[in-house]
Amino acid sequence: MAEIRDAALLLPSDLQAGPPEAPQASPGRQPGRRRTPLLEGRFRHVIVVLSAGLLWHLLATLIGDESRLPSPLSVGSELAPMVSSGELTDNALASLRRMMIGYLAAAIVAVPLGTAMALSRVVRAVVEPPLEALRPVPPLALLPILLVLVGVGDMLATVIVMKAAFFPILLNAYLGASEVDRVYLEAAKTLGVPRSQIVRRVIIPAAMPQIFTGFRLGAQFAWMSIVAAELIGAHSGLGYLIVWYKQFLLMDRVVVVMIVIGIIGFVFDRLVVRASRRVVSWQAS
Amino acid sequence: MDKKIVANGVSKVHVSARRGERVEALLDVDLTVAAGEFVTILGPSGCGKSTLLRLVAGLDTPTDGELLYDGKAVRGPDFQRGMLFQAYALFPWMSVRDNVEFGPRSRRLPAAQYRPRAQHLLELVGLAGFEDRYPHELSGGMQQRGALARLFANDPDVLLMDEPLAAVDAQTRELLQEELARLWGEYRKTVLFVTHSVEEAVFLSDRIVVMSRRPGRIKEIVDVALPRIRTYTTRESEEYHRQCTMVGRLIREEIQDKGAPSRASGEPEPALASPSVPGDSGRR
Amino acid sequence: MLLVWQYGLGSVLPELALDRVVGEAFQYVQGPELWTSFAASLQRIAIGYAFAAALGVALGLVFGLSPKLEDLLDPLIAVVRPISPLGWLPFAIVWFGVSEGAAVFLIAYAAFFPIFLNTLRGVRNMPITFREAAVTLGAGPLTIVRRVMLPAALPSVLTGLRLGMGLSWSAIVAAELAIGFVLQAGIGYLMLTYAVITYDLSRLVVLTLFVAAVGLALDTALRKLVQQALPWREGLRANG
Repeated sequence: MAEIRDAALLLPSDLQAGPPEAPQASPGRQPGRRRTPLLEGRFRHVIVVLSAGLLWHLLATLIGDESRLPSPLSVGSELAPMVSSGELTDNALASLRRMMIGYLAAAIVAVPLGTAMALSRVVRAVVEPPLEALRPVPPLALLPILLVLVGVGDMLATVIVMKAAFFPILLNAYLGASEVDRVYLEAAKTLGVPRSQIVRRVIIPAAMPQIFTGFRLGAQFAWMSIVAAELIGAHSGLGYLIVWYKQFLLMDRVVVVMIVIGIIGFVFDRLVVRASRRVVSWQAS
Repeated sequence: MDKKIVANGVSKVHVSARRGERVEALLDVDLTVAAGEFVTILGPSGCGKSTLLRLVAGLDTPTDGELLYDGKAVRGPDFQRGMLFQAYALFPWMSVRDNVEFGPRSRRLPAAQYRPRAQHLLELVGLAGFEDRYPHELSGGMQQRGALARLFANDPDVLLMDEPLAAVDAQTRELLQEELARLWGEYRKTVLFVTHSVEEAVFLSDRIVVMSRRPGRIKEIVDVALPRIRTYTTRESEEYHRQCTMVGRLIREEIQDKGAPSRASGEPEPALASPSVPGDSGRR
Repeated sequence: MLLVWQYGLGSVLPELALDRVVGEAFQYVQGPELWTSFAASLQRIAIGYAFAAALGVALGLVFGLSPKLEDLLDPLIAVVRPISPLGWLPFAIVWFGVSEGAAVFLIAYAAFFPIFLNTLRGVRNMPITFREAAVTLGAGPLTIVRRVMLPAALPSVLTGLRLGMGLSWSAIVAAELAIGFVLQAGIGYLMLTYAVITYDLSRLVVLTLFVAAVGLALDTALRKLVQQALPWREGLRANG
């Protein structure tokens, strides 16, 4: 299952345990480099976002057709009514709810299963074949079957989210548990920790960092899948909202929804990172 | 005396971008290296020896003081100050031969000029027959020899070596030291060498610059009083042992707090590992 | 496991029974329908992927070589990434109409991010010693980029390309599910037909398994390819 390592590569670069930062920021390091203070201050991100917005506005004005590229102003002006009418929050919550159910369900099954697979050859032999068969199936490919089996609605979307989140979490749990340094196990044994406790007190904590990588990846996939699933097969939620507005060619509202999707995804990701730092605060990095 | 490298009051402060910590790596270093000299910088961990080497290489700039090469200020790296790295840094995607030819080829020298020289060097360092292998197929010692050949192929004026033998096993290390001594004897380049190992420093150098603990200052510069041609027999001589012991004491002082080691609580004097045992890597 | 499928699931939904599915599979595989649709899907992937690869590698290199650029664009990328390719469907349709173009656009978008991110990482994570070695050997900046940074980044780039291919495959199915009716061709379209129009469960299962198998085959093939082409990858890790 070497793909896990590669799956982790889908994460943004800040997660990867990259090479430790070399102390290169000493003054006078690169003589002759241009200094652009505007782009280096603490507000540089804000400036970049604003510039992007400006560019967008220019483009939109050039194109002129609101249904092709809505201008940021009209997008912005749609935000208020959408929020106040509640539709934005209602649908966002609906999406989040489905995602959380699917995500948690996946996590609850995947973490123990992955650990068990790492610890017991038997479990692995039994469980691996069907899982390996199921893994390459893109979550959305299950949609048609699910459509027939359970019809449109919550269940459909939730199952897809489960599938999307399940494998990254499983694989990372497996990886984490199986790569626990032998040394820790041996130390625990020679300290007299009974076998029944080794899993809980040594293996799981040691595997935590990797498990959290799985959580993070799973969250990403889950959020992306929920929106996609709702686009096709649901009657509420942010994905559905996009389809709804597209019907009426209210593209500026569509953009609002898209931005909201992006922000929620980003925020959720940060939350998982925050949680992982709290739980795995002992990691030297 | 032709002064190849001159350092005047060189200081280096590292500022860690992440935590804003200031680390004084080097403080007020004055050093002159003459043409054709083999000078070793020796010191405990963290004393800034690698930093000094990198400054001379031009891979980093001093926070204070000046650094001169051939009378001109050092401004960035140049092939004339070639460097040998601890991690070999052979490019894994090229064969050994391609690695060795990399320098001259990058400088657009004609193939007719560098190809035979590269081949000669490969044979010289004992890699004949392995020229077309890739680095990951070779042992550590062989990789380092490859790196050595790569360095020499460029015919640099000054050779900078950053603990090149640290990652090599003890036996190979000794052999490589002797090979280095032999190569140096043949080409007589100016060499600035960094190491932890007292024995290595004494075996290879004309002069040893002993550094203090961080912040790195020059503690003492020792002239190595051994016949210039060093071979394995040199290791067996009395003079060699004497020099090693003396230099070893200097290093000890730095590791254990300057001055007399404290024995107030009656602890026995820590046994001096006998420096006459070949392959004993120096105190760290 | 197969037994569970046959007797467990088979008793609940006779249409999903193993023997029927297998029989169906054999029959279907011989017919033309599967393969023509597959060809249609592949074609879309080919175009979209080519775009994504070219753009992704190029941009990845540019951003990788300039840490400042990367840092500046980080927040923008962070917010755009969670929007799944399907989320861009409305715009794809608005810009390209419900057509091949829209599907290709979605595939390109889906494949772009892994390719871009991995190329970027490949360039950024190159151990700095390589650049220093090159510089102290007298190599000029262009030579360094061409003969040091690019090869050093290659393993990551290829990984990104491989991941991108995997995502393309997911995306094509999703895209065709969404707009397949109009396009009248492609694996996703087939699946949708059997799900919504014909209710042919066993065919559906066969198709789903087919999708999985292709995905797996592609991934494995690419991985082997990379291993063959770059036997020195291990050397890169060891040195950095």
